[in-house]
Amino acid sequence: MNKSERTIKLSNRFWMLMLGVIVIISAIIAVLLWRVPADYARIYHDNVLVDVINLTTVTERREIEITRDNANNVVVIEYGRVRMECANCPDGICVRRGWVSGGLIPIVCLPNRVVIVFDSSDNDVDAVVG
Amino acid sequence: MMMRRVNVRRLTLMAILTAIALIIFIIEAQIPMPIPVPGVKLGLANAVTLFALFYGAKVRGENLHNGASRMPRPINVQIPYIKHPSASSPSLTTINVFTILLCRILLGAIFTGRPIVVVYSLVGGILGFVAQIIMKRFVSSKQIWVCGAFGAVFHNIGQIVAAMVITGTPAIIMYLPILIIAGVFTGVLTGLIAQLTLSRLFS
Ligand SMILES: [Zn+2]
Repeated sequence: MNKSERTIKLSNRFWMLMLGVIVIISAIIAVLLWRVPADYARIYHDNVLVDVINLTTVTERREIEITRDNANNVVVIEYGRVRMECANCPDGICVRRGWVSGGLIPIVCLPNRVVIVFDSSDNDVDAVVG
Repeated sequence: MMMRRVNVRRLTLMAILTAIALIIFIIEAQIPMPIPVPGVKLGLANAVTLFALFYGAKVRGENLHNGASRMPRPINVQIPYIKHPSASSPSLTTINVFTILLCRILLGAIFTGRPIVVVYSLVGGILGFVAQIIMKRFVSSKQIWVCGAFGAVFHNIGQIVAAMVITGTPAIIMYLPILIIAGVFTGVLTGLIAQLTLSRLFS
């Protein structure tokens, strides 16, 4: 048994190192994504653009309600930040995400198919709206 | 001479494993996760899949890369067909384990009552399963945690791809790094559960 175990090429150390490298690389990418400024928020429901907001020009609190096909989500916009105020989805993950003021990681409500995507510029926003 | 017939012992074992996985899946669905990231969960039901994958190999005395092709020596002497593996032993093939997984996913979707869940579970489940089948070739029966980690990571990748297609929003891929990290940790946990259970059974 010991003799055969010595012939293992891929040791526990190898696998720990491999998984460790995967975790560290992922963490670095996550932090980089987190640090990208998000000036524009685009709200989609069912892949249809509902609204585009320039977060740097928001002056007062604003609520955007999405009620369609059993989905009922309320998005709140303030200067420089967005949150899902309430939603009738079963998991509540979108609401628990809280305020988002930066980064490219979208707010997602998978059950209701509502997605808030962030962007540092208004690329192709005009094309979508116009 | 003999008619081809259903191996009742194998069928019973598959049914028991499906039931255990289903119970774990349903209980886990009730527990909210501390991180508000879509798709992150412990995936404890996968411990049953891992158990079944490596159980079959153990019963068949398969080479698990460590060169040890000995017969299992289980503690439980109450189950003679496990103690003395023979042609009638319920050794599980890859297809058998895949059947257990499919039954658990379909029944789980029925019990948790959201049809869209089945799409995410199927894509994630199948990709994770394939990853575990491949990884099984490179790990020993003392490294099931490695298999679990890769299975969970690919399960999460599958779910992200499914979510991208269903919502039509490529930006969801931004969650991938977080889901890979979560998959490594939850996968090691479920893998260790399967590994410890097997090592107790085949001491
Ligand atoms: Zn939601």
